[in-house]
Amino acid sequence: MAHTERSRRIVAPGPARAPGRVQGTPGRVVGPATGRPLAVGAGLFRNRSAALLGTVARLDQAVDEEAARRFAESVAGAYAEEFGAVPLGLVARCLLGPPYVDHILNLSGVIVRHFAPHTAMPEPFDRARMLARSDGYLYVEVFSDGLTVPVRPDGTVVRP
Amino acid sequence: MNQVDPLLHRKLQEVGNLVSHLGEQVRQVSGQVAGVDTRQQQAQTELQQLRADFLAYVQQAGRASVVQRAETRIGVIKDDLDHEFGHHKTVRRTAVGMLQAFDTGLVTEETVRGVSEELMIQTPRYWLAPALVALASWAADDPTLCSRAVDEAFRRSPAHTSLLFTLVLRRQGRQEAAHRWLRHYLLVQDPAALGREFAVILEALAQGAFGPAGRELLATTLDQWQRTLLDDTAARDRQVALWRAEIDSLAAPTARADHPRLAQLSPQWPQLDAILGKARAQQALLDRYRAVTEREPGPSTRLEDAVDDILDQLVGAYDTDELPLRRDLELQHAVVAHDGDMDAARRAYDARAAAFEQTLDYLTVQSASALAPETIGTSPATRRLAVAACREWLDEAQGGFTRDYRAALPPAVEARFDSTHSVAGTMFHLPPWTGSFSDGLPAMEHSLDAHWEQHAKSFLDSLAYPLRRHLLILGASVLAVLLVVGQISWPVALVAAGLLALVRGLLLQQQHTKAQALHRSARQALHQAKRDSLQQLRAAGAELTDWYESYRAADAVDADCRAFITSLSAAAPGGSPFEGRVVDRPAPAAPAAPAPAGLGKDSHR
Repeated sequence: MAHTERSRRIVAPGPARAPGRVQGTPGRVVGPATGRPLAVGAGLFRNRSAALLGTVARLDQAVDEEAARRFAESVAGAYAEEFGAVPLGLVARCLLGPPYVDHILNLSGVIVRHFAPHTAMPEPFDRARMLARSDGYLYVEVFSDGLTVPVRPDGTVVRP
Repeated sequence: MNQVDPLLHRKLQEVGNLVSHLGEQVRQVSGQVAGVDTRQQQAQTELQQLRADFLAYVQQAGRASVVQRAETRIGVIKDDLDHEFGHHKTVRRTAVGMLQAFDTGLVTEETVRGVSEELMIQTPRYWLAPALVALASWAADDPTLCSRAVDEAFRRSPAHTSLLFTLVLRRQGRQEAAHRWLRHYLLVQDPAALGREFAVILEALAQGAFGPAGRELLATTLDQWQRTLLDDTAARDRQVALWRAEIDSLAAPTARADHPRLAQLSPQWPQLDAILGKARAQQALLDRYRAVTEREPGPSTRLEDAVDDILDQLVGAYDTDELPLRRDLELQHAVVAHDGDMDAARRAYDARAAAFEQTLDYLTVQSASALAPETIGTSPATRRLAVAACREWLDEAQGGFTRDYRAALPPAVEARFDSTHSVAGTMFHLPPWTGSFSDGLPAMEHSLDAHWEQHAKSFLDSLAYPLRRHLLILGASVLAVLLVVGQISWPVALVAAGLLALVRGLLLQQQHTKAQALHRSARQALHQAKRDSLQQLRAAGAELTDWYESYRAADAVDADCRAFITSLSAAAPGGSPFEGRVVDRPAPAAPAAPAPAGLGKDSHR
């Protein structure tokens, strides 16, 4: 039962944009990639590199706004460079545990928001929620067209 | 005045008695109505049970009848096959018998020739008959007849004939000629529309029957085909869908018996049950394909036997003409195997139906060899290689299957109580209560307890005897008697009021005692029902914990499955039991004459 009760986080990384430009409202999950034409091709389902996985894994270290912004920029940059498409956001297990309110960040459209089991996740992230709770995936990429791509710990992805 | 008093007193007495009697009758009627209500509820429950039993019986009877019809149909189809195509069997048996006769040299050329010519006449349109004449004339050193017979066989079925002579020449050690036939066969094949006989090529590859040169040629051609076909995303998706159907079919049956309380209480049980069944498919998948790949194919002691087995498959494979009957036969077998469940039978049949198409693309041949070797006629050795060759599709199908059931996991599992109880001759309906297990069992128990208490209290209150009201009425009646009769005579009024108070008071006391007993029993019954509910809730909570443990254990097999699928890439090349083996024995004794040039494919063309 426990694994369905872990709190979750949604990270909406932004691509490399002018720092300081506010894209969203605090408390809302927004993705800077929204509205951007998504180039979903076979290349998107290539393995995620160890460097990218390492970058994503450092989210918990983003304890302040500056760190969160740098984190999001590096993730978005890595995606844009490797796959030519930036996800709307990533849904992953939150390893911080309660209380997680301390880690809600908002800077330049970058929002890290933690969810309790009963808190509803906004669309389209809600479809990735139960996948992210599984130990089988490191995190789940959510694209603006609703595509969810689970990423396994070894960097392989599950094709839709 | 004295005459009025007794009269009034009597009338009052009569009115009091009538009221009391009426009250008694109303109570009796009320009790009877409650009894009728209870009996009606019981009758309804029994009726529902009867209906469910009846429906189950109808379903079972329907299935039994479907199975019976399918069994009858199987018999009819087999008869039809025997009647329509039985004579092909004779030719098939003769072909292998003839090759063995060549080996041993126990049969005279005349006999072989006589038999082959007889079969040629008896089986018009069948490609194998002229091929036998060609073999017999080869043995008899008659190049003209041999050439004409090869022409005829090739006209009837170029692919089958090419393969037959490839294998026969290979068996007889004529490597050059065998290689030429094989190359020509491969060149004219369309990888998107291969004949059913192509499974034999995979079989020969698995058995190493074509020798190093043939293996090289095949490997190059097949690799090229695979690359060409995989450029088409739709073709790839079709293969993944085939494997997905295979994995879906491995889902375990319901685990309701292990989680009866949870199944009864949780609205999410159907989802949970389906998810556990699917998670358990991981182990079934692993077991099934591990057994396929770990099984050591028992190689024949002689390579000739292996080639004979492949020849058996080539000549034994049913013809395109037989396909409609074979398809029907397969469907009827599926109906019997699924105990008359037409939907399940249709699903199982659909997963294998591809193997019954007249032409198949190369990828489908591979998948069919891995998924259902018996439908396409390949051996376990070929299946082993085919599974390895299909690893990418298996990987994708398994990944998608796992993702889907993981995503379907309900975020919160709830328990729901909505029950009706017969309490003290009255029906008590507990309004619906829903709680989520993610709140923790203590919080749920507390909430359910409070829900019970709240509704039981209002129910018990409605059962309470209205003593206070009755006492007030009695007091008012006594006062009225005193006022009315007191105007006439105070002593009479006092006596009448006293009598009224005494009689009515005794009645009230009796009724109150009865009502208290009823109230006590109702409270006890509701208390017991509440305890049962709480116990059910705890049991459901424990079963949910068990369910999660079972699910986690079943889901964890995903890692083993993935490791197994990854390990298949190492098994892909060189899994043949006859890897590198060639027939290097001297020319066979029976056909004393050297092979006529006519058997070489190039000269034939």
